[in-house]
Amino acid sequence: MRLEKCWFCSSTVYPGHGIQFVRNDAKVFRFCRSKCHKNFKMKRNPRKVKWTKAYRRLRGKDMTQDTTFEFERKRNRPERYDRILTEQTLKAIPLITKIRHERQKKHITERQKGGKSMSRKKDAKELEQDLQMLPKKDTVAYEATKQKVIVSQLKTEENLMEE
Amino acid sequence: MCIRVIGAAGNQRYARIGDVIVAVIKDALPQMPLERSEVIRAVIVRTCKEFKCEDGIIIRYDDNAAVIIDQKGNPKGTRVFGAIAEELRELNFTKIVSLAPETLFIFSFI
Repeated sequence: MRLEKCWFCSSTVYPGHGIQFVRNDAKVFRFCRSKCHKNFKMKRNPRKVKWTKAYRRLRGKDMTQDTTFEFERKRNRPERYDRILTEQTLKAIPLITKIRHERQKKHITERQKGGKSMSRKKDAKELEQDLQMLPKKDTVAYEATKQKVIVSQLKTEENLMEE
Repeated sequence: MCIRVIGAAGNQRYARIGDVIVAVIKDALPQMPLERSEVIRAVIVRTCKEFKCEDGIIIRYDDNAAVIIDQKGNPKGTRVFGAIAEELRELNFTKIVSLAPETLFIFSFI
């Protein structure tokens, strides 16, 4: 038994789930559920479909390079059975997955860090330029802070002439 | 075109992978040992309809394919195209599996 990855969304396919499609050139496509299978039949490219891991990795939204991924890489050379090695591997697996999850979370929070300052800048600009467009109740506090300067028109000879 | 499934129970309507069928040739290339409208036996090797393995794996191929065999189960031809499942070996179709360009190992079926 081997836990495979779904060809479309890259999630793990557990035994008893999903469909395997064998193309005539003997390439096997494994799908975790009918959603992925149907998307495949529609000939959609997973790199363009937003909810797939392929898209997210391509766009840098998820972590791509990390040493924790090296552990899961498929090796075609069989290992001689060693009891101690197996025991250590089984103990290490939950640790490694925990570390990987921590790192992935960190990657995402790092990525989203610039967002708050950007939205603040945008809001400040909007208050400055488009004050009339915003609803009155939101801008009352802001308007109170602005000091009203009374501009008195200087009575010059020219103005008197206009009147 | 399939006429009958050999060894099928009365309630089995359709043949699956590994079943031997009696078929008639509808279309043949000109200079070949077998001609159109000959009745032959064949074993099904690939189906578009997905089939369920004992361990829960569901497999679907890209086309329907059968290999023409004689009464004993040896293939009539010398070449086989496309992927063949290794499990056919257990059904005494070892020659077909050995001729296959690519074989697939699925754990167990039927």
